[in-house]
Amino acid sequence: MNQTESHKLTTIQIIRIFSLGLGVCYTIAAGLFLRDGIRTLRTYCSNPELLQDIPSVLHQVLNYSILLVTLIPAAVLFFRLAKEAIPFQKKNVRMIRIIAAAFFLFLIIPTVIAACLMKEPAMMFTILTYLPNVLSILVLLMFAQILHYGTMLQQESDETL
Amino acid sequence: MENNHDARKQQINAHIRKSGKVSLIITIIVLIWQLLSFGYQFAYTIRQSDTLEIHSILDIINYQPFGTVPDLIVKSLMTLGSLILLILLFNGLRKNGLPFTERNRKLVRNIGIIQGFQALLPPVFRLIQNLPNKEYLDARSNLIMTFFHPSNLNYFTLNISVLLLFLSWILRYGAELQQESDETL
Repeated sequence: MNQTESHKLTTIQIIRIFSLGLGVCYTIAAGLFLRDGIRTLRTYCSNPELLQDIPSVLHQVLNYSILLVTLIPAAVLFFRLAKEAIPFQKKNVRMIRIIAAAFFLFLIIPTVIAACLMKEPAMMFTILTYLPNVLSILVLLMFAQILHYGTMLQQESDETL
Repeated sequence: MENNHDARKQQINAHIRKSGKVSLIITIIVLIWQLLSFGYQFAYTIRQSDTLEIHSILDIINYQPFGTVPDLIVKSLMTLGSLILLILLFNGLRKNGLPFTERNRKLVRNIGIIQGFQALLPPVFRLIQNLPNKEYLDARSNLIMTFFHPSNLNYFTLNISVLLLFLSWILRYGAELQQESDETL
């Protein structure tokens, strides 16, 4: 086995360990948010006065559900990476695009809906504070493209062997 | 078949270049936005007003209290540092469209490290601030609570930091595949 091959194997091992750790962290986070979401909903359901505040209920439900839609695919992606140890696959690219879309919804939609329902245009300005977070989405989308390019290289490498 | 594969690769390369350009523009806008925002936050913190009077859009956006001046200095320097590194990364991608290079790996790793510091430094500051308080130190749970409380430790930034470090390893793996591909040609 030459040096490049051994470097590749070491990198793969590190990616596997990293992925496993991240997968576990994301699963725990998803579990905690789910528990928190259920508790919040129960509080709302047990108090009819709180339920009348529709924007707030909608905001909470959307916040928690979109957060879970972001965390669960991420956990699945990391567990898959830990198991298969091939980052450059088309299904991973697709998964990252889903996460980026869910993350975008998580950042923008609840605020827009709350602002519309509350009829407070000033609240729309809070969207501007999310501008730096939009960068995270961009990095994710860029990462998806980089993975796409990587799938080509992986295919080439597999064909050479 | 070979030509088709190469053509597809070039197509993705062109796409990366285009996305790099868009990302570069947005990152520059965010950098300017952050400079304005930090400038305003510094002015606000130094004035130490207790009540916020709405005079401009910035007043509405920055309605939160901004913490102490040292906190702000560290936060601003780290955010601006990360953004400058991100600009360098996107500029490189815009120019050559090659993501799997040692330069990009190092840039991503450094951004990850800076983000990690940005997440971990505020709780460390809080701990240092509370060190002279002996009663506070006696309760060990206070120390743990101070460090891990979401108002001190920014879990979102910490998450981004870990993801970037992970991405740097994937870029390393990609760089090895790229080297293999270049050697085969």
